[in-house]
Amino acid sequence: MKFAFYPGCTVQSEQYAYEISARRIFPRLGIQLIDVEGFSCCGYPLKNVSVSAWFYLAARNLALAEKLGLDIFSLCNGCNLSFCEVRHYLERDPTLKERINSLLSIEGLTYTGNAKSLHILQILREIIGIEKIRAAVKTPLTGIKLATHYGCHALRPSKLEMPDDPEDPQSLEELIEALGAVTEDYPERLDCCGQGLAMTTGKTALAISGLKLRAVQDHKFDGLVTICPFCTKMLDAKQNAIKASTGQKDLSMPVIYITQVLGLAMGMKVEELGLNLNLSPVGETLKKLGKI
Amino acid sequence: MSTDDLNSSLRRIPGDHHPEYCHQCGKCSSGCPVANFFDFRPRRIVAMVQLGIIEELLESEDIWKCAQCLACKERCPRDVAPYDVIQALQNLAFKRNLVFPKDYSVLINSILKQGVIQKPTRVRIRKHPPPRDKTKRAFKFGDRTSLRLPKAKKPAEIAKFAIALKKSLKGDEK
Repeated sequence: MKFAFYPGCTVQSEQYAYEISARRIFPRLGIQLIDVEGFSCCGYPLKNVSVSAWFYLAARNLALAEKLGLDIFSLCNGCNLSFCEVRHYLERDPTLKERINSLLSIEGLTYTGNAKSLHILQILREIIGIEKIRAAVKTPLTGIKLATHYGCHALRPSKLEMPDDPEDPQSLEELIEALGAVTEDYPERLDCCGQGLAMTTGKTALAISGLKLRAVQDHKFDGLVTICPFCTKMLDAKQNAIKASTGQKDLSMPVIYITQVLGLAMGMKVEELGLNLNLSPVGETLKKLGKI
Repeated sequence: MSTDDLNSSLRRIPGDHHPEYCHQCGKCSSGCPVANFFDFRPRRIVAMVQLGIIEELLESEDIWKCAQCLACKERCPRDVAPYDVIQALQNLAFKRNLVFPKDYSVLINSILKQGVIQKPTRVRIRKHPPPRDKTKRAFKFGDRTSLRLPKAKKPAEIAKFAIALKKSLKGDEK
């Protein structure tokens, strides 16, 4: 099955590990990722100052996918939510849709609503299916206990047909178990990463991320599995800043994208999955798995 | 602007916000991740809008302390969507050029110029396992090209894109 591949600004400008591992594993699981020239920001970063700009930017990317007759597969929770939410509003408000279309006409684009956006969990669970994933496992990830972090925008608001239950999601848990690793619930599992505050109060954003990492570490997990580049930017890339800002000197938690975990179980190598790009101490998890 | 005018301006900003449905149960504030750090309470913001104390909200930094986690919107038993109330207030504050984080202007300029929030950056590439010789550097730098990733995406005709985006930024109301 083919999808218009939408990495999103954060992935294509810095979170390369997610893009590398996604480009590596999805074709093997029967998903063809089509690169679309012309994609722009999804609009999410502007919704707080201008919902109108957000509508325009999200609809613009959907219109580009629509032109190719493809649905969007976005790697980012925020981008996917943008597309789903804007599509929801435009479907219900013909006047708004008309206004957005007059803006899109400047670039010769039209939005009808034919293209939708799918979340990575929907692609993995509903399009590929857990059985196919189980069958692709070559080197089961036995002996490690992984925590999950969905990220707020994967699950809320649930009225938008989100990929899993907003208060008790299980798809990542199912996937991790299918790969041979162990996972378990922990009270802070659905807690926010704090990234949404980075622009206004960076210190608080770090403090909230620190609480999450502290919890994962205290519950003695060997790693934290993520699906959103924005959350990962906080939890993986800012671990040193969190340590310094919150005084938690002993904080040390490997943070790994689901695509990287999948690839490891499928027998792929560290570099093939961009595991040399994670900034958190993923070497520890790789050692436990006998991958290095 | 009169309270009535402010109220109708807020209502005209698209979203699911319905402050008038709120019966002050407090579920939003109790689940808010920011409430542990600041005197930031979604319930109070909704109550202030209900009472018409809007101008004060628009001129305070409080409405920008939201982490955008959407827990309040998800859990509200009355479909008030406190997050959307806050977002509408933020939109109005920006539109009236009142209080808003200045980084938004940087962000807007960046999207206008290149279609995305930032250009591809250089990143650190590590060695696993790290080199035994501690005097050797444990990483080198790489970019999309050296990592063999295709070119980052951006609008083909950036000038037209920017015209449309500028127009969209001007017209927020229904």
